[in-house]
Parts: sequence; C-alpha cells; structure tokens
Amino acid sequence: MNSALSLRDVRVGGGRFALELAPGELALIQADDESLITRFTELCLGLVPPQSGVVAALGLDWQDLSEVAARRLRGRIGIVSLDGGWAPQHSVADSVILAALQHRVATADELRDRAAELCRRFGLPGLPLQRPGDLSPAQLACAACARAFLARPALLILEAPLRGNTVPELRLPLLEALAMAQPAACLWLTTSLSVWTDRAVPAAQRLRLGSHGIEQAGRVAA
Amino acid sequence: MLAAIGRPVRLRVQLVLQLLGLAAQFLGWALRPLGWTTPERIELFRRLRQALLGGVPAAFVLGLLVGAGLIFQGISLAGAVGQRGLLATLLVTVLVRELAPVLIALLILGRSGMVAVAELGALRSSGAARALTLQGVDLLRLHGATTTAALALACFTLGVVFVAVALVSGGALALALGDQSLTLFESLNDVLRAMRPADTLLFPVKLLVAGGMVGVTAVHAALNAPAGTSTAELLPVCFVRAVLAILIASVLLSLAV
Repeated sequence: MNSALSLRDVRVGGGRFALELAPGELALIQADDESLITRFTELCLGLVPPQSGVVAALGLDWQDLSEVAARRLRGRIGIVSLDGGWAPQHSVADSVILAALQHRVATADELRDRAAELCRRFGLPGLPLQRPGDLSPAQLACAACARAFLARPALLILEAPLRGNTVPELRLPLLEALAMAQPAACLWLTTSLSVWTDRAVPAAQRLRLGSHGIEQAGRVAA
Repeated sequence: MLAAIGRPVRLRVQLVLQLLGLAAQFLGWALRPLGWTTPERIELFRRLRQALLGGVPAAFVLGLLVGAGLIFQGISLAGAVGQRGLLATLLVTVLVRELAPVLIALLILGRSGMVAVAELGALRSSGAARALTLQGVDLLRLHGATTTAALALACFTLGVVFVAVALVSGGALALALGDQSLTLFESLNDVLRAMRPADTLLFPVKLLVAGGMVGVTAVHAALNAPAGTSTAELLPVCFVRAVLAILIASVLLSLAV
C-alpha cells in the first residue's frame, strides 16, 4: 500500500529527512523552533523543493505534479497552520469553509453543517460567525481543528494544534477526531515536550526535528 | 559596476513584465466565468460592492463639479466666441476620452485600490495567506483576479455615471443661468453625435483597462512584497505604481486609437 506521506533521502537546506507514514498512522514530531515546523510542513506539502530525494503525499510525488494538480492534492490534506491563518476581514465561519468550497468538496450549506458539527465536537457552541479578533486563542484553535477535518482528509498535518499545550482541553476531542478519521494518517508537529511525551497520544512514531533534519526519538533520549 | 548600472533597469523591466503577466492571467480567468468557484464569486461581489457603494456618490459629486467647472464654462466660452459647433467635439475629446478614465481610475485607486492593498497586506501578516496556500488555494485567483475584475467593472460603471452627471449638470447649469441657445436634450445629442466609433470603443476600454491596472498593481504590491513589509510601506509603493500605470495605459490607448 502507498504511504500517506513519504520523504525518501530528502536533503534540503543542510538537513536530511526520511519519513514513511502509513495510512492510519500518527507521527508525533517535536521541534524547539517554530520556523523548523513551518519549513518542514512546507516541505511535506511540496512548497519547498528538495535539493535531492523524493517527497510524496498520498502516493504522488510533488515534483511530478503540475501547479494545478499540486494545489488539488493539497486540498485533500487537512492542515492546522501554526499562525492560525485567519483572515481579519472574513468571519471565522467563512475562513473555515473557504478552502473546501474552493476545491468544490461540497456545497456551501453542506460544508457549513459539517463545520458546525465539527466545531461542536471540538468544544465550540457552533460555527463561529464572528471575526477572528472577537474570539479567544483557544476558540480559534478549536475552529482550526474543525477546518482541518472538514474535507475528510486522507492526511492531516497539524502544526501545534494545542498551541504548545496552552489549550489542553482540546487534546481529548482531537484524539477522538483522529480516531474517527481513520484511516487518515496524521503528522502532528509540536514545540511542546509535554505534548510530545504524552503517552495518551497514540503515536506510532515519535521523532524530533532539528536543523539537521529528522532524528529518531531513541537517539535523542540517549 | 556594470551590474550596478543594469540592476535598476532590469528590476523595472521585470516589474513591467510581471504586471503584464498578471494582467494576462487575470484576463484569462475573467473570460471563463463558468470556471469561477463559489468563493471567487463571493470575493468578486464583495469587492464590487465595496467599490461601488461609496464610489457612486463620489463619482456623482465629481461629475457635478466637472459639469459646473468644465462643461458650463465650455458652453459659455464657446457661445461667446461663436464656436458652439466645436463644443461637442471638444467635450468628447477632453471629457469622455481623456479626463473621465483617468479621474475615475484615480478615484478607484484611492477608495478601493488602497483598501485592497491593506486587506491583502493583512492577509499576509495574519498568516491567512500562508494557511490558504497550504490548503491548496490559489491566492492570485481568489484575491488577485477577483480584485482586478471588480475594480475594472467598478471603474467602468463609475465612469459612465461620472460622464452622464457631468454632461447633464453642465448643460442644466448653462440653461439655468440664462443660456437659452441650446436645449439640454440638444446639447447631449450633439455630444453623442460627435462621438466617432473609435471614441465609443475607447471610452469603455480605457475605463476597464485603467480600473484593471489599479487592481493588478494593488495585488502585485501586496502579494509580491518581501516578508515583513508593513502596510504603511506598501501603500505609497502601490499608489505611485498605479498612477503611472493609469497614465501610461491612457496615453498608449489614446495613441493607438
């Protein structure tokens, strides 16, 4: 079976990266620096071309895809972005459904219903109609998770979904959502050591991300 | 040394080529409305609403002022020197062909182009642009093409309002102040008759191109700026580029037709 995400002998910016993430698998990756997380996400999503090696998502090598096909593939991947990514001029509700609507995943009404259900599951009273400035960081973190799961993705890339463990109440709903989203694979990136060492997170792989690339957890602990 | 001399020239040529490339890309998008997605339609109408709601009163007032200042005086002076027959041709050349597109494009730049730059700048600084890119959304389509199309359409609409108000108000003022030699209907009819087919074509084309150039320069300035550029830095850059683009497009089109 194809890997959900595969980095084979990848070299970029002095770092070496190797990762195989099977469907249904969860990899938990810790990095001390947020810029490493954002750069690694962009590498996994084909936005940073590797100097050598192959980066493939859902069985497709990014370098073989046209720009349009690459964007379509990114539309099948659920994302929680580190900086939130809420447009100040739009309501959170509009921002939640925007990408799925742009990729024509479903109609606006269907997406709104599904997003409202996901928001309730993540602890919000419903789909927030306010602008991002009117919501707390915790509420925005919940809405970001709803947005990531909205298009029923086959692969999820979550950049610090618990905001460095500042939104601990989101942990349980997120783990439940990940279980329900099976066989979706998940790459969970975090800056928090407490999240990374949390044994309740059913990670098949625990890795560390540094300026030299990905390191196995065992090696780091030693 | 040679590189230092060539660099500014190369950068400016690169900028012009980038603007033309963007304009061609947005035109291609605009000509295929069946391919527009729901968010693109929503964004297009949001920008159009923003540009027109406040823009129509502004174009109306501008039309009244130009009508009183230019057309009324034109009627009076042409009557005084016995050249009333030339007035319609003069109005078509000065007002319809040259003044209206530039004035209205500057109005659009100030009222909507600057708003677009600020909003797109905020999209970048808030991380929303990155989040959308990660989700596979084409920012140039969703925000660039829609902004450009909306500003082009708004420029055309406001241009028509402006010219109509200017002609009617100027003629009405002349009548009200005692010039009974020509009725309002006759003066409007003269202007329409003085318009050659080339003028009829040039007027909407200039408005659409000028409005579109405001959109293209705004999108380029906002989305192509180096990371960390503030809105305060983006606005003057966009303003100067857009004014130059409007004037150059206007001159080139006038020379072409």
